[in-house]
Amino acid sequence: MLKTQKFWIAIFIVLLAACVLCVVLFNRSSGEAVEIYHEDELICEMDLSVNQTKKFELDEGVNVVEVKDGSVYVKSADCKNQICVNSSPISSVGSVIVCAPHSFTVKIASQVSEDAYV
Amino acid sequence: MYKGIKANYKRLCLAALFLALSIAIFVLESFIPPIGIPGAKLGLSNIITLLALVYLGVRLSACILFLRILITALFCGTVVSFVFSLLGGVFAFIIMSVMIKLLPNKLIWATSVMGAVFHNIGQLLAATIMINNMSVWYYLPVLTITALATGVFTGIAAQVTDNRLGKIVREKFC
Repeated sequence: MLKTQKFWIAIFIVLLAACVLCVVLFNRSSGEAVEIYHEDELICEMDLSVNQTKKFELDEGVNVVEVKDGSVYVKSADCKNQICVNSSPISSVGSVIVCAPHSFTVKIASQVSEDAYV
Repeated sequence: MYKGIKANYKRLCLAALFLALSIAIFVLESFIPPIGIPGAKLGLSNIITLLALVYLGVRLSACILFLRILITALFCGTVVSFVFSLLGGVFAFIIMSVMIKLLPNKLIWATSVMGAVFHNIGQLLAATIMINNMSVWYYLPVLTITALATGVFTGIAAQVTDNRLGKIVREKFC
């Protein structure tokens, strides 16, 4: 009895893990809008579906952000660590690229115009 | 164990009791608002289906299940809900009747969980037929997670009932 019980418990745990994995992997929604924050303030919004390049000249330095083929990345920046430039392009809702020295954040939102901000 | 015609009467009485219980539980459960995913229910009537499988065998349990689905759909359901219930119930019943024979009595909960999972598969099948669209199957992982949880819950309920009442029921009714 103990053996079959353990067997079934194992089967259900595997099934549960597989389902959780499916939910996490398949439900990544690709967003439509890019939100640019400087010092936690929204300074710009860009459309993910439109290929564009924008240069942001901040007090701390310069960041160039490019939208290409449905994802956004930091093309170039004059910060010392270049972490933002080396980050891979992002497209799913909620993901971010941060340039810490410049307090500059690129974030993906789900709708083109957020009700709170426009 | 009673023999002959008396046995059949006793089993029929138990089956009728189970049917009434099943309907009552179903109606009560319909008052619980669906939380989380729409249409994800606790499936408490499955407790009765399980107990019926243990005490009364496959044929009577199938009758109880079908009649419960029919009556509840007639009195507090729609044609659509009937089709969904029916397909879900049939799928769940097939897998449960197989498993209840294979597993020892201590593992009623495992049968219950599998029944819940297959119930959801059956309902998704009904949904694909109804709207002619395969996209409903994206719900399967989420529904399976809830099925595992509710299946364990109903399974434990049935298990506990069997532990306490099994002896008396078998003595008096079977």
